[in-house]
Amino acid sequence: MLAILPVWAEVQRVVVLKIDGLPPRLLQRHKLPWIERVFGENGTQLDNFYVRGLSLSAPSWSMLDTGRPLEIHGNVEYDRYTLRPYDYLNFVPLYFSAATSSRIDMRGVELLDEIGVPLLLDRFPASQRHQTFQLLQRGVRWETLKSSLKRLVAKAPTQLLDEWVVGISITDTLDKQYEHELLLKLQDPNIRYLDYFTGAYDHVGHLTNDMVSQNRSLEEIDALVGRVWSTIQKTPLASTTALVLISDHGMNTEAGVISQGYNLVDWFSSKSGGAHHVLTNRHPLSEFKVKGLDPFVSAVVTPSAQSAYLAGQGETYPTVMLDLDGNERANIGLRNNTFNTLHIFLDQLLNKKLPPATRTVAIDAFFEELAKVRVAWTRDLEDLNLQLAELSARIEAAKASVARHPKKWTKAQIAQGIDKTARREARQLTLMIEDNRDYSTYMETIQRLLQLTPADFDPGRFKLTDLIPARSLGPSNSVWDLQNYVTGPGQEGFVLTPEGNFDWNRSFTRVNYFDALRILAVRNNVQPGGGAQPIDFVAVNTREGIWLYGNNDHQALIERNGHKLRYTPIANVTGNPDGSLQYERREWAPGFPLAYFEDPDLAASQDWLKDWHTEQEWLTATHRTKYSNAIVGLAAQLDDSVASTRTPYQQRKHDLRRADMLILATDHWNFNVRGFNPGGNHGSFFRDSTHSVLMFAGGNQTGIPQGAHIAEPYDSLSFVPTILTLMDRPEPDLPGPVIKPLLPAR
Amino acid sequence: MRWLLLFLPALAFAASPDFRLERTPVSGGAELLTIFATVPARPDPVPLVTVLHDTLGDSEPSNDRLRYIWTITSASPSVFQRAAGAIPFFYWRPNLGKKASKNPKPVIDLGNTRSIVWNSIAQQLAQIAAMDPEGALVRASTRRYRNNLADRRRVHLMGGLAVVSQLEKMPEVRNLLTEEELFEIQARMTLAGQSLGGLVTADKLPDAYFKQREKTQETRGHNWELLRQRAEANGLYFDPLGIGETPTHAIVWTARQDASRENAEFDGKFLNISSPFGDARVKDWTGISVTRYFDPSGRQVPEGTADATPRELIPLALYGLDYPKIPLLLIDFRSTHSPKRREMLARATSDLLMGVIGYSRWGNWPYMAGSFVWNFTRTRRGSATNLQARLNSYSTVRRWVALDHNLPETLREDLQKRLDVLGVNPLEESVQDEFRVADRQFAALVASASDPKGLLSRLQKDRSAELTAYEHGPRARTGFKLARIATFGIYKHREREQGDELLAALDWSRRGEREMRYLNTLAKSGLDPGPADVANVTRAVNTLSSIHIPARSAKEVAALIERFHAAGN
Repeated sequence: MLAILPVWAEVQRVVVLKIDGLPPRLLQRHKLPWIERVFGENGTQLDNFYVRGLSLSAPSWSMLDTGRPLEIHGNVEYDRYTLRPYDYLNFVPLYFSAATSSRIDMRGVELLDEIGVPLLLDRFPASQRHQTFQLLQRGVRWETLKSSLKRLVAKAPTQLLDEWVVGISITDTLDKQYEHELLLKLQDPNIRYLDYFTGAYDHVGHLTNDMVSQNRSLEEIDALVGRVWSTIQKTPLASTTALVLISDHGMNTEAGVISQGYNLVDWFSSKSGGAHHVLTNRHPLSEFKVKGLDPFVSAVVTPSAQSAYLAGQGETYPTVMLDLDGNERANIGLRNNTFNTLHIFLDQLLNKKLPPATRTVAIDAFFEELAKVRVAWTRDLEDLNLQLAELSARIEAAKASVARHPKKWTKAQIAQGIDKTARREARQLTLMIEDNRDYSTYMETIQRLLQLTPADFDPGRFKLTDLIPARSLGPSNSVWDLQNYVTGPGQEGFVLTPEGNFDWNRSFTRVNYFDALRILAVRNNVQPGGGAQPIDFVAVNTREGIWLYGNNDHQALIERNGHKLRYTPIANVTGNPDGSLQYERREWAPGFPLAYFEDPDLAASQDWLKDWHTEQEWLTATHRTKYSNAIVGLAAQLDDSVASTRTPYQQRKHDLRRADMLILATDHWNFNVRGFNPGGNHGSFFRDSTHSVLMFAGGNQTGIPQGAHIAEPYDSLSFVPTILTLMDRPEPDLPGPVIKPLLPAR
Repeated sequence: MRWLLLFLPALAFAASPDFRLERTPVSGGAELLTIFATVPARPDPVPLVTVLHDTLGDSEPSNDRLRYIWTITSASPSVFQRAAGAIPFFYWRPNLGKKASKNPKPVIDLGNTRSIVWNSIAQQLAQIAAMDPEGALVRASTRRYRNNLADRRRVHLMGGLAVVSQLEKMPEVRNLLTEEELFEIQARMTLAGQSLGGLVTADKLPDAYFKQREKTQETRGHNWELLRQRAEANGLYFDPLGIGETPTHAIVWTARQDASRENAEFDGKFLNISSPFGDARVKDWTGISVTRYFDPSGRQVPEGTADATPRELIPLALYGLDYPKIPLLLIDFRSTHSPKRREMLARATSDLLMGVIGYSRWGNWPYMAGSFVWNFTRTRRGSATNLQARLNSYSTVRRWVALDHNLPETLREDLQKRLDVLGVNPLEESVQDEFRVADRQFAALVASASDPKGLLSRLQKDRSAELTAYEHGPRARTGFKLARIATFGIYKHREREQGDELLAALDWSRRGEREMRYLNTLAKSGLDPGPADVANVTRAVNTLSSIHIPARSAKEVAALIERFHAAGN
């Protein structure tokens, strides 16, 4: 055996085929000749490779491309204070901005640059790397677009006619062009990192559960593997090239089962959902709107016709933001509960004719409410003020640096990518200036609010937007807030108790979001075996840990102690106004969120569940269960208690992008509202969604084992350190474990 | 009359109609493959679609060729029907009689799919050049007649395609047709519904099949979801139906008890029906209805379930799920004629503008621009503006409803009657009439199969033409045609090979073409032949090396042999 292993192993070049949403179980079911030959016979397959965090493209690729914990938590995120969108999927604004040289990278890359997290490809100089179009794209590819256009039209007339009648696909043409460029670049021995991204399977998987159509897409991926592998074999670096096939998540798709959608936008804008003006990144049912053709859209407000105090003010005061992409989950950010309460007070006091007695008591109540947050908000503004002062200094420094950029770049500078580095610096400067402006506006508004005195309540003295920040969700909500969320004044408006005090209970309409979401059910659940309730459970990050809410009797707490996690079954959680929780402990039993206890695929005893375990231990024990590595994924997605290297300002921005609640869909349900995804979905922690593809094959000097399967489970964090170790560029500070069975000759 | 019925939607997909494939030999080395289906309320299976499969009389599938497709349920219109079809603004289907053709005409000639495209273009040009200038009456009636003919063909094509799509689920088909042939039949039937579809080359057919399949499946899933969500949002009941793996149509119901909710909100967007709440027609409904059972959470359960309460459901609408983007309203149970009125209005507008007034999009740019913007905006907002797609959806649903054994008889009959109301083409007939004529049509076809002057004669001509096309390039063939015209038909080019020699020549020409296509596809894929390809490449290279190759293809074949010779050996 030892005789057939290479004396030394060396990977000088790596080629990564990134296939969005490719589920391993379909590859196993539908044997594909090239994948079987390249990775089955000549390579190594990881049988248990999982997404860490949500099974969602933007976060998942961000972790796969950086090897670092999640900085991106959804396909879109909004800054709570400013509602500035971080739209990680929309590439159109990038290309338009790139035309004016104001941008150069996708939004996700800009964010990672801001934090100082490098991509895998950043380890290679510009001249040694080749990247195709993708979510975390660095640089724009005008030549590719130009060549694609030529490819589209430069055909024989019969071919053109064939394509015209059968249907021209721009996406297919682009994919072919990317592949063409990849195959060309493989001929260049100087290029050491190449990747290729395609979302073709993900697209088909979402839209149809027809296995013939899905298999056709898999066959095209198989042919791609064949062409790339064959080309590699004909290049001088063949023996030291590693080919990698990887997907960012799986796909919960099943022949004959239509994934049913539940429209949370409609629900949140309804009375029972709180009559919110709802912010989303795309138009709901965009295919039915002329506005839906707007390629630049990143923030759309769907106003509620039933809002009790914000009627007609949807654009100024959206009160909930939803990130629904991926579809088996939704990130929900609600406007700060105290904002709502104070807003209603101000609305009643400034715009409604309250009886004098009620008005006097209401003014006192307003200041009583304001007093509850005054200390925390004042401290927050002081911190923000300091951070903005530092930001201003950095802006000045960056301005000076950008001013030194030449107006024209030499060919040598362009070849080295110096012009692009300069444009990135200019872009970061723009982002800093925008942050400074928007945060300052927010700060000034809150300062005015905190400085209010009873004497200020003369009509016409100020506008509401001077006191309650427009287009802002404000500070995040506690569990208490979410259980007592104010959605409007009481049915009779402001009322006093018989003793003449302000009646806090009757003066406001409140929603307990956990109860309200739990009871959602549909009558048109016509598929055998499907559940009528679209929501599986809700996850919220709390001081005590990550709280999972299934129903009042079945809840759980995922606690962290250093690098260990523990899952505790609990019930009847009540939030306290100070942010703490009260709850009752429960014995392990079936029916709690994640269903580990009753899962026959749990690779541990039921007693084992009661203890603290490392993430790797949890992964090993749970990865084959229905919810696979959910416990690790939830911690990665929601838990911020692990020490990070972020500066306070970076930490603030990170926190402000967080949502209040993560809602997980029941099996074969989804929350898509942009259109319909009847074929399948992902985003949840179901194994079908988190189980991903990772396969390696290499030339005979790479040392990558042939015909091997690795059964030990790994997750996204292992990808980058493994690639770097294979290439003899290990980075020990990366948190994920290297996949050691891949390195037998080392 | 009120009917109380019980059936659960889940049962709708438990079984499909009993399809079977019957093989009828044709003298001269071919066979007719006919799909029969058992039709509710009819004692014998009904022939629906027939394909002429030219096997050259042997059992070697590699030299087989598909020739014609007949939708057996379609008979030529009678003279009276044709006359009615030429009357502008006449959108009814009077019973003007229909005779089974003595010689049924194929709906597609698979050996020459191009001719119908050129014919259509020629007719269009003739219309513009000769008919349109003759005044409103001639223009309107000729345009209406041609449109009716085209619509009739489309209805039969789509109805046939719905049946043919079941072929791949029939195990016996694998012994009679190859996968490529299955793709070809379905792709050609789909493409035949498009203006230039007949010009698509054979190489593109698999792609066309997969694209169309993906699109159809996506559309059905999309509309299923859209309709379910709209029904849910409006407090209605969604009931998907169909025979294949994915539902093709759906009924939306309302509960009788909800009819009294006078002020209940209702948003008819995408449903295209009026609110049933407070509607006297629902309150006083005496038509068909069903009783279903629901548990306390509102979920539908089987009868007899503990705590289940019955609810009487009244049908509101039937939708086709094959229409792009939105479910297509086919039946409004409270106003059966309302979808027809919409259809008539759309056609009348078109007849008025293009037929009577003589506006043409291509000759009037402002009209073209205005029409484009109007249609684009309406389509974008979810209006069913595409006439061809409406016809496709209507044809498919009409066929499935007629064949669906799972529907209670009374409901099926009711649906069929109401769907028949929707017919606006005087050249068409009802589904039941089609079934009645099918037996006689099929008998005529079988008789033709054994008649030396019937199918055999046609087959011989086609085979001869096929060999000519293989041996001679387009220029030479044009020359032959010109010579025939110039000599008033005295000269007719004939290949030397006749009888058994012709069959032998076709055997190698077909195998040669097939192997060339295989190697070309492999070459275009950019893939080196894998282990699974070696046997096929060897066979292809050996076949091409051993047969006569026409001079015009010799270079291409030599290049292919050179490229794949090493891989194949």
